[in-house]
Amino acid sequence: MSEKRFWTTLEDLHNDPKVEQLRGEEFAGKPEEFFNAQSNGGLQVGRREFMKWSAGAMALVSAACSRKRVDHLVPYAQQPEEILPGVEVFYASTCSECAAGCGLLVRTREGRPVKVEGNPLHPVNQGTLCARGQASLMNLYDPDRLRTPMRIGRGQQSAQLDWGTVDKELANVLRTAGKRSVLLTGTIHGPARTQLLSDFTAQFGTRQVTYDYLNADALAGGQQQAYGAAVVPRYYFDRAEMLVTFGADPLGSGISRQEYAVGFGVQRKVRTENGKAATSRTVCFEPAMSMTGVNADTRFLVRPTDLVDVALAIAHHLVVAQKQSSFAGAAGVGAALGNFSTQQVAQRTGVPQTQLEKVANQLWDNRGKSIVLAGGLPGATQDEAALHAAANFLNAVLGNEGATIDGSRSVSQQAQGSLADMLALVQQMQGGQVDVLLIYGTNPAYTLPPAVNFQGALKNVKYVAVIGDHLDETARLADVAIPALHGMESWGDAEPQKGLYSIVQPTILPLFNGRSFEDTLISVARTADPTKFQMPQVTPPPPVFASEAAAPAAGGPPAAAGAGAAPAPKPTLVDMDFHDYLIQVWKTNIYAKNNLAGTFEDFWTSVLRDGVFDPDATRLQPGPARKFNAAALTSLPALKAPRGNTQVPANHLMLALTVSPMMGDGSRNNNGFLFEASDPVSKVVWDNFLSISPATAAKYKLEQGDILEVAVNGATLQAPVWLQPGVHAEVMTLQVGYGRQHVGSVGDGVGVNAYPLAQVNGNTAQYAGFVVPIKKVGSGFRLVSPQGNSYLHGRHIIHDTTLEQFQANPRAGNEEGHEQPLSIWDNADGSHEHPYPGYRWGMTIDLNACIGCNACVVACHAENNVPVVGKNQIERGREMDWIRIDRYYSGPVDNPDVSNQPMLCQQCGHAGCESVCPVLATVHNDEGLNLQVYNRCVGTRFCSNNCIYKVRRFNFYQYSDYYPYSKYTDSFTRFTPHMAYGDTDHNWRESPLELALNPDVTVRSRGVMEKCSFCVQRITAAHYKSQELGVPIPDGGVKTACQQTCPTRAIVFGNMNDPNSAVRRARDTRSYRVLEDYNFQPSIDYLTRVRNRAPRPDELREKPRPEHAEQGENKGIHAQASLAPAQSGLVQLRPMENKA
Amino acid sequence: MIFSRLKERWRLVTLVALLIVLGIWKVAMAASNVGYSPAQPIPFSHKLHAGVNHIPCQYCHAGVDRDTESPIPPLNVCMGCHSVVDANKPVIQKIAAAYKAGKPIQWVRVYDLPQFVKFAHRWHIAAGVACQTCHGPVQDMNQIRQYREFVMGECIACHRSQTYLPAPADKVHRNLATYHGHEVNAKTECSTCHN
Repeated sequence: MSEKRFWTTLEDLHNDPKVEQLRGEEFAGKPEEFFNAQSNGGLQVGRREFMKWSAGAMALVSAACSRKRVDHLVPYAQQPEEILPGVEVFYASTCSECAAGCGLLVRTREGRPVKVEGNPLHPVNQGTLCARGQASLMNLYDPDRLRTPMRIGRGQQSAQLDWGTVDKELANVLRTAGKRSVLLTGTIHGPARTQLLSDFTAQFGTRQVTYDYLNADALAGGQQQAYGAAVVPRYYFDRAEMLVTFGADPLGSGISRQEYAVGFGVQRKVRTENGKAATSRTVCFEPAMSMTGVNADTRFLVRPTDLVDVALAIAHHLVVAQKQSSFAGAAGVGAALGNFSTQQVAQRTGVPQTQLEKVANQLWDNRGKSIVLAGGLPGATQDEAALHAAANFLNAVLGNEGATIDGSRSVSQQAQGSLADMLALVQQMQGGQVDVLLIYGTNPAYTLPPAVNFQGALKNVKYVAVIGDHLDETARLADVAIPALHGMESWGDAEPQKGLYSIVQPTILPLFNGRSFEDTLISVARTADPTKFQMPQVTPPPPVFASEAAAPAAGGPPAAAGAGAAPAPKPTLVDMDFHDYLIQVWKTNIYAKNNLAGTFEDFWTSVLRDGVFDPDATRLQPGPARKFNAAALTSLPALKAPRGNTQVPANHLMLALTVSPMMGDGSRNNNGFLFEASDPVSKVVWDNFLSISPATAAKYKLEQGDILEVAVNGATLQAPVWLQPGVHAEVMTLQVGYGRQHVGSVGDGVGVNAYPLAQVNGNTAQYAGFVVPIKKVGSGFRLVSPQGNSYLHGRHIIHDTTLEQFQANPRAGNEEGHEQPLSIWDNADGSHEHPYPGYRWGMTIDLNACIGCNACVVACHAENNVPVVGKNQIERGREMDWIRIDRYYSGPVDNPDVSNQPMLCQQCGHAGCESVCPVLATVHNDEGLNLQVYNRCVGTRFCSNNCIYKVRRFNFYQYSDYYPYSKYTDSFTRFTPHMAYGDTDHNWRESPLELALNPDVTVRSRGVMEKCSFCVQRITAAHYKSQELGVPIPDGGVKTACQQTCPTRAIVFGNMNDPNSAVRRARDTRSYRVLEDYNFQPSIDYLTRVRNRAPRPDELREKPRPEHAEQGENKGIHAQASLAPAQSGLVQLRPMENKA
Repeated sequence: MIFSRLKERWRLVTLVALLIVLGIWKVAMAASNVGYSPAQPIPFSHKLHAGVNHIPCQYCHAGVDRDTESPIPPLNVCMGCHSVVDANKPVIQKIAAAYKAGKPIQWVRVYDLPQFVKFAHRWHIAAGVACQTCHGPVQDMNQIRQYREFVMGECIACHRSQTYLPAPADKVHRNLATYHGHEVNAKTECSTCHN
């Protein structure tokens, strides 16, 4: 029988000797930088010198002060009512990291946010949060934020300004410029915000232009062609049993990707339908592996220029060949699709005809419950309009319009930016028609290709002000740079989808001398015209709540209040801030229009409590189907002359840009959490790179780390090569969102900026389909991936099967059953079971649902104060992630299957770590946890050596000193900057980053082992609560940070002693435990991945592997020994080899 | 030659060993804070308030039954009485001035735990542990002074010997109490205080 092979890296696949060598080494490298630093050109410290230093240090310690430092206790002068020191308070708010508008619950302690979580009441993210949202704390506490208004003088000056000067100056220039002023923003939605923008622009005659880092022009334009209105539809992924993408990556970089992922998870779970197991099917046509492609059941490698052919071939098969749907025989359709029969397209693109027809037929079977999605950067070729037309046509043919796609009722407002508008603006700037330019929330100097010449056009604008969070690329070209606030510091609102209102409320006072963008607009408007933004105020101020109004005013003359005879005091006008404005707009625009029963005060309180107001029940269903305008398809010039046979000559590759699922558009790049969480596909950290298929690399003699020069229309950049399985042989891809020049000391210079490679044709941008020569200019670039730090060594860690096999055999792919007769526990009463009298915590992880998005990884960093260690440390195998997503390939190297596996401490019943700790720093508790006691740990690392899951992390340095900030974190990089990224005077552990630390979790120091604790601080908190209430902890009463944020609900946590708990109910025939043979008895069950496609030959298992059940009665040590040969080479629990 | 080298090595070893012993002793001494009684910015007398006037601890330290930290009273609590009581005394006027200015008093910390210890007052209050058990006869102290050593042994000793069980409905702890045949009253497993 041919055993199915899983592999993590190409070295692993090809049995590289390096992998074999790593087997005996716990951590990939030795602490060579200290003793052996000569090779790095760093410190040259010998052993003797080290001894001298140590002795000196000890002497100093001994002579140091004999009692602890004097510390102070500082209570409040006036304690706020809701704050008790040490007690958390949650605020409902809206995420400000992108325009998707997910709901947040911000956990605050003593008035500072320490963790953000998804708001369960919010329909967009439904209680979950993506990695970028989880990392938003780092952006709030970012020390590199613009702290005060500055006069930049087009890069010539750097002087602080006060707010009064800013207001006067802006009011003056705007008044003078009038209609010749432009307000350029990123996507802004929300009733009060949009109202404010229109009030502001109306006052000065300013024009507003919206331009994002990445714009949805093409998608909206395609909608306009097809349906007459340029909208971004809302996609109901939770209704789509089949998803087909053409270049799009909805899970990784979709406009509302968290919403998509939640819906995707709903459909992806294995369920029973008509007595048979069922799950959704995902088919991706894409040039290189995207995050959606990672989760595809079937992937086809298609060059970017061929995507439109493939989409039209599927349409041809359905409408012309099979004559399905009402479009069959419609005028012009047959003729338009004439060039795209499956046979022709198969010849042009290399996608097999049978496969094309099969996908088409599957789509027809799932009509009305599927989504066809095109676009993304890889789809943005010259034929992008045709691609969108084809996708819209397919959705219309399949009846998905109005069934899984809503383009008419509650459409998305999450991407309103328009490249066309921006290009028009640049033209006007060039022509001297713009005198004043106000920029907020967008960064054209970073995102526009140089051919557009934004910088040149900016010179013709008399006055440029940039309002933003950093002194970024655009702000450096401005006259003044004005700080804005982070979403967690300011009031605001959002309307991500029409009719869904979400509130942004501040959870901390502004950290620096900042003012929110909205307040700046109000203040400027009022400076220009003192009658604006005034509101009547009666004295005494009106009560906030009606209930207070009922009570007699304390100290006031009761007679006057009671009689009501006194005339109402004449209202005086007072200045309004955005908070007042927000309340006013919500009162008039939302409260008044919804005919609500209670008072506005009741309504407002409920909005602040819930964070969201979603009054329209019809939003649960997509709006009525729109009528597809066949002319959108038939009038396309591209269809007359298909480009599917674009030739890629020898020594050339077709370039496609993609969006990084971690960094997104690159707008929030000063964030170590995101750089450190590895790319979901390549698993590379801290860099972007050119993905090239291994076969192509071999053909052109390219190696990993070779540096290529890529030139597209005058824009040139150099980027390293990464050999990525699953990339089309004629394609290379590069992620945008890296290579910021001016964002802060973390993000500056990480990776290369790929935006300039985009090519502007008319008023659209092309991001893919460039044929570029291969020009090697260097080699040896270090691309670092933690995935190579531990290897499978042939162990059977991933279980997967196909739906067909699973329907026939519920244990398919999971045949290895294990009896575990042995116990390490030897109780006084002769029993061999460890008692877990109350709770026993366990976890079930559904490999079918896990999409590898890294949200859990970042959530864990934020919850557990896990430090960011930087590229250099990860290269040495010293990553600190308590949870990681292991990505395994299987199948053919050119287009492999991918399995994602979240790997964290398995909290074993028979833990290998516990029995080897010489100081009892890791011990078992009565709730099944392997506790790690940091203050006991002396750092022998025996536990890590003995851990078969490689989930223990050792603090080689005082990482916490740099928490959570540094990309360097080599202690010695302070002295040897060339070992890092060239930064010499970085200010270590800058305030206010330490405010992001979770006060409930110990900050670990050097020389201490740490690992996942199952969020024991949350378990402890639940115990508090249960004791107070006198009831047991309910199921779901403890949610770990990873579980809480998981968009697809792949992680379930709970009490395994309770047979009705969710964690127990989730376990079924698909359950297995990783490395079960070792009898470590982990508390985490994984559920077999079920792929919805036909099995490959190597997946047809002939029979289950031999079991060892017959030895179950033998409780001696021999039984364990007998396990070993069956898994020859697996039981290699050798002690750490001392190679130093 | 070899001999002298050996001698040198021994000398070094002895020196290092001495330094280590000295260092450990110094560190150990530093850890014990018993008797520490620094002067405070306001000469607040617990003896006068809690002793002579019998004001209950939680009148000022309100919230200690809900907090993990014992709240040091904010100035508005002081002013609750002292806007009237002894309002003309200079020290009270100092507090009043600070309250008006919104400037908190910076008390000198006496009781301190390392950050790897997660101590919560509220369980102990709920279990009926008197404040004096750990903090000593505060009601007799004019200036607050550390009463006993705050080391893990003291915590564990109490957790083992005392029978403080809060909620009777708590099956977990009742089971724990009888587990392994010996009595464990409060939890003594590591995660109780360390995480």
